[in-house]
Amino acid sequence: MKSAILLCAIALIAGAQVPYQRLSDAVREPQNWLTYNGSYASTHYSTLDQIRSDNVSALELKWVWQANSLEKIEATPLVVDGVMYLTDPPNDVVAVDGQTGRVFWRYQYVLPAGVAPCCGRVNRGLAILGNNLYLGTLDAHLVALDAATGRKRWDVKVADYEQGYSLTLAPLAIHDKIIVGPAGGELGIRGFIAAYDAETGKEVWRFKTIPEPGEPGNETWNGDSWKHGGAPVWLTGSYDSELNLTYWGIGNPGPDWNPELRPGDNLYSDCVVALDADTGKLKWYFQFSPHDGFDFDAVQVPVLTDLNWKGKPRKAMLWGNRNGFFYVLDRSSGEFLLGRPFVKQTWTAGLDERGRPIRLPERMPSAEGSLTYPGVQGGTNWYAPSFSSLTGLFYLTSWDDYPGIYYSWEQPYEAGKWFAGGSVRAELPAITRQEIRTAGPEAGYGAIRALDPATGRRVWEYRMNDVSDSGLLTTAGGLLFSGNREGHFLVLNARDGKLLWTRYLGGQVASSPITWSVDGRQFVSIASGHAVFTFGLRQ
Amino acid sequence: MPAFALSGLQVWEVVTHIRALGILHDVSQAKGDAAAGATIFRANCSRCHRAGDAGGLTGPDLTSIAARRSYAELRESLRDPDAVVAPQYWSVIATMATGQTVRGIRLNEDTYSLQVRDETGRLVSLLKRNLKSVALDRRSPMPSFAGKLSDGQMDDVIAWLTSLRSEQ
Repeated sequence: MKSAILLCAIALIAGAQVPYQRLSDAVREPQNWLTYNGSYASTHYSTLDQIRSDNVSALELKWVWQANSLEKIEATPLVVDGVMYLTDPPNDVVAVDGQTGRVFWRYQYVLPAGVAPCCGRVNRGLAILGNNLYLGTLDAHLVALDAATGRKRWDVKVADYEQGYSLTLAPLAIHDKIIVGPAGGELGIRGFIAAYDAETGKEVWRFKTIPEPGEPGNETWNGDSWKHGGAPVWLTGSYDSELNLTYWGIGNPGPDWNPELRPGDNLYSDCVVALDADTGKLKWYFQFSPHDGFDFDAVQVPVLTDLNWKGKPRKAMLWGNRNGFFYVLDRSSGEFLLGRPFVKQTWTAGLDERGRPIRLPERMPSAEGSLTYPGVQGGTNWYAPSFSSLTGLFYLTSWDDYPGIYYSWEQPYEAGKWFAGGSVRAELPAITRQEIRTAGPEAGYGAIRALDPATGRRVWEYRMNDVSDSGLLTTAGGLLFSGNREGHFLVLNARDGKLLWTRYLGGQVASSPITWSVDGRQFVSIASGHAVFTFGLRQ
Repeated sequence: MPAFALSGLQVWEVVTHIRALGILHDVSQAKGDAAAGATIFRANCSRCHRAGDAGGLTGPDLTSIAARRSYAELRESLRDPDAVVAPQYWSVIATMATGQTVRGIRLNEDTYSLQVRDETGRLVSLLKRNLKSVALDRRSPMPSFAGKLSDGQMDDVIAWLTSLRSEQ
C-alpha cells in the first residue's frame, strides 16, 4: 500500500511544472527565476553572462508591464519557462508573456475594507511549486492558484488581520510545504513562522517567534509583554538542503521604541533562526540586537555561501543587518565568526567576542529624544544583497551618515492598533520617494557597497545623491544591477563599482532586479514606480 | 492612531497647517499699517517676491507666508535673511568644463543632474558629468533690511502680508 502511494506521488510530481527538485537545483537553470531570491541560497547571483561590461551599452527597453495599482511595487517577479508571474499590489496576480509583456491571465483578490497594515499596502511576491502559485495576502490569508489559469485552488486563513496581522512576504516552498510568517510588528502582533501542506493548505507546523511561558526564551520578556511583543516575519527566508535547515530573519520587538516596557533580550526578536524544514523545530538562533529600542528588524535576506574561513571550509551565512553591522555566521551551528559596522553607528560601543552588541544606555530612546546613528531605516533594510561567486564579494544597499532622533512614550496595547511606544524624527523619508529632493549632504546618502566577507572591510562604494530601496543582482557577466529611489536603473562593474550604464525610469525602485533568458537571449527586469521594465541587448 | 503613508513633503504640509492655526493669531499681533506695508513691499521686495497677484519669481512666493512663519521669524528674516534658508532656496554655483558659470536656485538634484532656475528666471538642466565644479550657497541672495527699514516699516510689511493671508 505504502509503495502504491509513493508511486502515485511520483507520478503527480512528474507531471508537475515545477517540482521541488527544480527549486532545489534552481542555480542549474539560470534562464528562470524560480523563487523570490532566485535560489535557496539567496545569493542574487546569476550565471547568465551574455550581458557584459563590453556590450552593456547595447541594452535597450524590450517591454513595459504597467500595474493597475498605484501602490508601490515591492515584489520581485518569478520567471518560469518564459512566463513571468508577479503581484499587482497589493494582492492581484498576473501571468505575463516574457517575450512581449502581454498578460496571459489576471487573478483578483478582494481585500476586506478594514485592512490597515502598518507600512503600506505592499506585497513582495509569490512562490511556485508543482502547478501552483502561492500568495500571501494583507488580510493574512495564504492562497494557492493554478499557475496555468490563475484560478484559486485553496485559500486558508493564517492569522486575524483585525489583530494587526498581514502577509506581505513572498512564501517559500520547500519539499511539499509552503512557509510564511506575518508582518505587524508595529501593531502588537505575536509573530510566528508556519508551514502549510502545498496540496491542501493544512497547517503542518508553526514556530512561535516569541516563546510562551514554560518554553525556553520566555524568560527574556517580563510579565505579559510577550503576548504582544511583535517579532514579525515579513521577508522570505533561505534554505540549505544538505542541512535541511531553513533560515529566517525575525523583526523588531514591540512596542518598538519603548524597550523599558519589555526588559530582557526579547527572544527571538531581531534574530536569525535556523529551523528544521520538516518539523519547524529550532536548531539554533543568533540575536543581532538584543533588547532593541530602535526598530532594527533582522528582516534581511540570509545569504548562504561556502567560504574558506581561516584555512577551513565553512558553511557560512552573510548578513548585512539593519543595525549597521555586517555579520558572518556558521550556518550549521550559528557560531559568530565576524561582525563589523558598514555604516556610521553610535548605538553600540562595538560587538563582544560572541557578536553581542556592547550597549550604550544613553543612546536609547527617551522622552526628550535621543540622536542616534543609524536612523530608523537602518544601515540597510530588506533590500536584497548579493554575493558574487565571480568576485567573492558581498554587496549591499546602504544608508549612511544619517541619524534619527528616537523618542519613547507610554503605550497601552489595543488590539490591531498602532503599538510603537514612541516615534523617530529624521530628515530622510523612511519609505517613500520625494519627487523633488533638495536635501543637503548632512541629510545622509545612499550607497551600493562591496564588502570582503573575510574581513567585512569595504572594497568599493558607489555613492548616490538620494538613498535607495532597491535590491541588488550580480551576474557571471561581471555586472551588478540595481536601481534607486531617484528612479534610475543602473549597471556597475562588480569588481570596482564603476558606473557602466544607466537609464532613468522615473519611479522609485523598491524591489530587486532579476535576470532570466528565453531562447538564449538574456533579459533583466526591474520594477520602477508602477511598472516593470524589461531590458535586453539590441539585436 | 494609525500610521500614515505620507511623503516627507506631505508630513510637512500637515505640520505647516497645524502650525498655521497658532501662527495666525501670533502674526495678527503685528501693530503695523497694512496699506503702508503694501507700498514698502512694492518698492523693496516685489522685484524678487510675489505676493498676491504681482511680483517676481526669483524668491519664495510670500502670499501665504504669514500662515507658515511667526511674527518673530518674519522679523528675523527681514533683519538677517541668512538665519534660516530652506534647502529648496539654496543656490548652486556650477562651473562648466568650458569655464562658463551658472548660478541659480537649486530646484532638484539627483546623482547625475541638477535642475536649476538661473538668475534670469530660466530653467536650466545641468548634467554633472559636464561640470568642472559644483558648490552650494546656503545663504539667501536677499539683502538685510536692518538699517534700511525702521522697526515700524517692518511691522507695516508684516501687517500687509498678514492681511493677504486673512483674505484667503
